[in-house]
Amino acid sequence: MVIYLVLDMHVHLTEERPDAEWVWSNWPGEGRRGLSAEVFIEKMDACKPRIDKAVVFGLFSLASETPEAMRRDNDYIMRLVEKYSDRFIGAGVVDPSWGEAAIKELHRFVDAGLRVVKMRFSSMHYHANNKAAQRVFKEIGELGVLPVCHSDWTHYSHPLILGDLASMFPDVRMVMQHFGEYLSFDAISVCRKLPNVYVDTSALVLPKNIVRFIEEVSPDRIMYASDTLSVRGGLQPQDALNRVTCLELPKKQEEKVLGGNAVALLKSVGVKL
Amino acid sequence: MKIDVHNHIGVDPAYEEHRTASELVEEMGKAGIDKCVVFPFTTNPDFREQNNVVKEAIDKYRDKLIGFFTMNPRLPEMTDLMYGYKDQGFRGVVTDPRFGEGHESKRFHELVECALVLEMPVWLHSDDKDTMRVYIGPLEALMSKYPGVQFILSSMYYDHVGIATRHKNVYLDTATHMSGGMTAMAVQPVGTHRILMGSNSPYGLLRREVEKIEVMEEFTGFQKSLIYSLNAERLLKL
Repeated sequence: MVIYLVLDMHVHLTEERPDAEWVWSNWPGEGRRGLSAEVFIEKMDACKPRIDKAVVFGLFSLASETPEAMRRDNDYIMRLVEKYSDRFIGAGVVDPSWGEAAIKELHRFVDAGLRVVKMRFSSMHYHANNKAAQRVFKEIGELGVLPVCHSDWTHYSHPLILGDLASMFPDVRMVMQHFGEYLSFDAISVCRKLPNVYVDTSALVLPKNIVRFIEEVSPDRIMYASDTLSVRGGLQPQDALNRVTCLELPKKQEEKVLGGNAVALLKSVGVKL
Repeated sequence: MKIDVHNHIGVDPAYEEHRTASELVEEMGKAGIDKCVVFPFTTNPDFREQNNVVKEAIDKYRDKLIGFFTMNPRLPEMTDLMYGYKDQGFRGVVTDPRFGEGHESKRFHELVECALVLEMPVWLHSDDKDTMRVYIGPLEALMSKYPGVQFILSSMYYDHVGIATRHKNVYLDTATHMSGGMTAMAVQPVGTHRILMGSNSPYGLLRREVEKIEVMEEFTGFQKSLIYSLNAERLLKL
């Protein structure tokens, strides 16, 4: 029987869109993208172990066509968090390419109560250590909120580039989402040197590197996440849970990865759990 | 029946990983895997010694392990060695651009021609184009030139789906798929008939690979059995 809290650190939720809009934006035969709060809650409840809570943020404004698109996504998330306060912890999306408008949006949603900031530099093809990113991080440091940043093998979101950004702000704790994806050895290398960098397990290709991280870096800076963003296919929460449980970690370690570490980190930036 | 087609034994000098056949067989028992394809770590340049490790393993576990040998296309005696490995019971050849020969080189093509004659699949352990500077053009030219050769494409990350869609003699393994959902996405254009279950152990886990497929509602029972074993049995003439 599971008595500890299971927390998914990485979920994209999206508003339902009219069918006509999907026909316009997707090739015939392509799966419908997007995931509503209600459908994801059903998934959370069906998972073994059940997922108690999730950090949720938008999807379509990771690279925003306008600052308004960012605001629209973040408003949607704030409405969901209000409606499902027992299940969701909200994160606001910031697209740093909008400069001053991005900073303004950051302040707006932090003032409204969100304590987590999602950025995906590969979406707008910005190197994670560029000036615009540094500017957003400076604000994040002053606000005392938690940045969660997508990582991958591109030079925009490469673990070493994210590490360079994190090294400029040693007082800001940052989550390197996806554990570097294919580059999990690079992610470990970065985290070994930088105590302010955490990882989530979503999209990790080599699950044994969870064990390597615990042994070589820290048992306290790694967190379960799914990166669910669609009803079917792609990345799904049960598959992501299996990525952790297949390792048969000692009970205490598994509890920390599945929720304990996330709870401690989120509380440290003022999230009420 | 479950067959995992991507397992390394021997020594990986890059990460100082040592893996024995008995460790693999023990993991197979726990994960419910019936057979595994094994070959050396491609990071180890002393492939003759490492192929010997594989040879000892397949002799010891005849009913469980299927051996592929590693080959460096630069060796002048390459084709003689390949004939010798075939006689020893190896079922396929693994090569990699890290040995210094790109897919466009004459020697690389000769390796593929020899595999064609020996009726062996060619495992392209190619890593990805961004970090290894592997270019897709010469790779696809090779695949077009030898339609009678069955290639197993282990990496190339997102590009592997497009390549397999265009070349019907290409099989994909699941090792680089970060989720079962990613395998399901590859299946739409490629088909389940050319997907092989492969864990890339010891870096991957056998159990994880089974669960990645098992959890996917998109696959029918028959399609799962194709990925679990039927495709490998057909490809390797088991």
